Amino acid sequence: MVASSVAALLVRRLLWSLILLFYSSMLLGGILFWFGAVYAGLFHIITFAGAVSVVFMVIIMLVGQDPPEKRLLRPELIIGLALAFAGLAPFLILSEQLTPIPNKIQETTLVNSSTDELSFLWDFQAWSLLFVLLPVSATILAVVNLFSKEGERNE
Amino acid sequence: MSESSYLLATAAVLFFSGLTTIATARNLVKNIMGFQVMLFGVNLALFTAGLSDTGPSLFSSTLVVLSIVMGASVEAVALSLAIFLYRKYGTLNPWLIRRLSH
Repeated sequence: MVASSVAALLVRRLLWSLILLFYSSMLLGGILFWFGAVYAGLFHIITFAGAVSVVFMVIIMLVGQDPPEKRLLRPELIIGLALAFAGLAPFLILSEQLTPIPNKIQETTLVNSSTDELSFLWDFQAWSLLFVLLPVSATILAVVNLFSKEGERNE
Repeated sequence: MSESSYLLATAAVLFFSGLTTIATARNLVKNIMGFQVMLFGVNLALFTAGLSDTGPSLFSSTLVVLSIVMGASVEAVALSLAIFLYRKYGTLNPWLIRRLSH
């Protein structure tokens, strides 16, 4: 699924991107289905592989295709992708300490009933990953903007 | 590494790839596709966050469905805006549109 999604973003022709994105949607729906979230998986397939893909197809038919870019691997894209994969390391470290989201709201009080005052710093909950996600995203955007020559030309 | 770690790593790769595409792509349709891939990552992360030995949490499944609905709506609006911009400026390149709009 990762290969299909990344290929959809890297391929030059929009139609091939759409086809790969369709497969990616089907695979993600299949993953949700496989792990027991049947309704979420089916809803995902119906929405993204069905409705959204059709809308994308109509848009591509209406606007046609711009000429494909000559240079596929631009420096800002390479730097952004490198940062994206570098952002994996903190995720993998933190994910070992994840506490699953409980089924009921009341259970959260039980999960958080730690006696240590500073325990919130290392008792990572699932949503604590946001603290990693936000800085890494900000870094990617900042670096990509820094290396984007066309952005500078307009200033 | 546990099963959740693999799923979370997949979600991270999807999210950051989509974000990089949004930041670098020179075609609005490609930008929206990047947003969709980001959304896949978010959905997978939400789902993984509720995954335990007994199966997925109902709360996280609900959040995934909400995220799907909101994401699809945002994409539909974004695509309609792309059509509007194409009719007005004749291109889908955001850099060109920015130059033409000044």
